[in-house]
Amino acid sequence: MIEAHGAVLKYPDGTEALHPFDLSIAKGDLVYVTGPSGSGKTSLLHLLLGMLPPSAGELSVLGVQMSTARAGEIRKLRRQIGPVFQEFRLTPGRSSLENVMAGMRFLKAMDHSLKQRALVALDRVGLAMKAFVPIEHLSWGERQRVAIARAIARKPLLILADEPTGTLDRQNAENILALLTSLQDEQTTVIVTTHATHLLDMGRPSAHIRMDGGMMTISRRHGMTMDVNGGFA
Amino acid sequence: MKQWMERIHHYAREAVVLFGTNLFSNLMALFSTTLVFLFLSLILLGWRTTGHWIGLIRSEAEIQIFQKMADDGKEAGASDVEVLTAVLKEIPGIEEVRYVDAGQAMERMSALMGEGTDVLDQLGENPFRPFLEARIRLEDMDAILSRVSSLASVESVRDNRDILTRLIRLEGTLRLMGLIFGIGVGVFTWVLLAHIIRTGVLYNREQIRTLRLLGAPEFHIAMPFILFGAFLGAGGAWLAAGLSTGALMFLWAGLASPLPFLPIPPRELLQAGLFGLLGGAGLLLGVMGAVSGLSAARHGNDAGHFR
Repeated sequence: MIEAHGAVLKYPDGTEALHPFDLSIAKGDLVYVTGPSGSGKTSLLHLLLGMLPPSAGELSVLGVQMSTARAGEIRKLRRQIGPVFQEFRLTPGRSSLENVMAGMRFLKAMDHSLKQRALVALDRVGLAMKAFVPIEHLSWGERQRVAIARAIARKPLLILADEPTGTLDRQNAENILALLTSLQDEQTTVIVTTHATHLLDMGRPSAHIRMDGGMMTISRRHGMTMDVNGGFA
Repeated sequence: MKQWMERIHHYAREAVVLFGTNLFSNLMALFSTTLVFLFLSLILLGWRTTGHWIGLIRSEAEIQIFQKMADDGKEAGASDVEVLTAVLKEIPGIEEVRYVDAGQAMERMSALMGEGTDVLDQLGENPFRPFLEARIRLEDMDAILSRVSSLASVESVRDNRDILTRLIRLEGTLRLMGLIFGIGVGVFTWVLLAHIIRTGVLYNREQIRTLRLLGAPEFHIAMPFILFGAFLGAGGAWLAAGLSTGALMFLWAGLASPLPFLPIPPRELLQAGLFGLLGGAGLLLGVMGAVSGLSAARHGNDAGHFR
C-alpha cells in the first residue's frame, strides 16, 4: 500500500521537512501520526497525496512511484484517496450535499448513485439532516464532518485525515474517530494526524508515528519501535 | 450517454454559478461583447447592402454600340441592324442586345433632363442617333470592347468603364475593410473573454486546487469555464444579432417611403443567417478565449513546487 525507503522531503528553500525515513503501511492499517505543530505531520500527508514529490529516496503509494509519477498518474492516485484537509477546503455557497458530491462528480457513476453515496456519508457523520444547508450556515465542527463525509463517500482505498478532530468537541471527536477506525473493517487504510493523544486507543491502530522536527519514530502495534533508519529499537 | 448528459448538465449549472459569482463584472463583460458584436453585425450588414447595390449595378452594366452609316449618309437599314445584333449576341459576355432608335434616345434624354427638356425642343430636329444597347458581364468587359470595336460595321462604342472600374475597386476595398474590422473584433473579443475567464479562474483558484487534490481531471475543471466563455461569446453575439435585426426593421420602415428610388435590398436577405453566423463566431471566440484564459491562469497561478 505505502512503502518508503530513505524518503526525504526538502522544501525549495532547503528546509528539510522530513528527514530520511522508511515506512511500510499495509492495506487496512490504521496509523496515528502525532507530534507538536511544525513537526512534519502535514508534510507527510502532502507527500502521500502527491502534493510534493520526495526530494530523495523512494516512496510508493498504492503502487505509484511518487518521485517519478506524471501529473496524470498523480490524478488517478488521488481518486483512490480520501483526503480530509486541516482547512476543510469546502466550497462556500454550496450545500453540504453539493460539497460531498463535488469530490465524486468526475467518478464513473450516475448522479443518483453519487447522491445516494453522499447522503449515506453525511448520515455516517451525523449530518443527514443538514444535507441541503449551505456550508456557511454550519458550525466549524459540522464543516469538518462534511469534509470527512466527502472523503469517505468516495470509498477510497486510503484515507489521509489531517487533524480531523481538531475543531470537534470530545463526543464528536470520539464519534468521528470511531467512524474512521471502523473503515478498517472495509479494508480501507486510514492515516490520521492528531493532537488528541487521549483518543489514540480507539480502533485497532497498526502503528503510531511520532513526529518531532521532521524526525519520525514508528511504534508498531505489538510494541516494537522502528527508528527513522528502519532499525528496531 | 446518460452519464454524459448528466455531466454536461452539471457543467452548464457550474457555468451559470460562475456567471453569478461576479454578476456585475460578468454583466459588463456580456454588455461589452454585445457591443463588439453589434459593431461587427453592422459591418456585416453594410457589407451585404453594398454588395447588393454593386450586384445590381453589375447586372445593369451596358455598352452602347453605334453602327456605321450607309453610303448614302443615312442610318443603317433594318437588315444591317439585324445582322449586327446577331453578331453581337454571339460574343461571349454579351447577355442581351436591344435596338434603341433615335426617338427612344431622345425620350431617354428628355426623361433625364426633366424640366430642362425645352432645350431639346428648340433644336427642331432630333439630334440623337439610333444605337444598339448591349447588357454585358462586367468581368468580360475588356474582351467584349475589343471584339466589338474591331467589327467592320461598328463606328464607335460608348462604355461607362470608369464608373464600373471604380465600383469594382470600391467593392474590393469594402471587403478588405470588413475583413480587417472582422479580425479586429475577433481579436478584441478573444482577449476580453480570455481576461474574464482568467479572472474567474483566479477567483475560484481554491476550489480548483481542491478539485485537483481530489483527483479531478483537468477536463472536468475546465469545462464550466469553457461553457462560461461560450455562453458569454454566443450570448453577446445573439443579443447583438437581435439588436441589429430590430435596428434594421426600424431603418427599413423609415427608408422605404422617403427614398423610393434607392434599391434597398430585402431585409430578409440581409438578415439571412445573421444569428447563425454571429452566434457561431461568438461561440468559437468564447471557447478560444476560455482556453486561452485557462492556460494563462494555469501558468500564472500554479508556479512553484506544489503539484
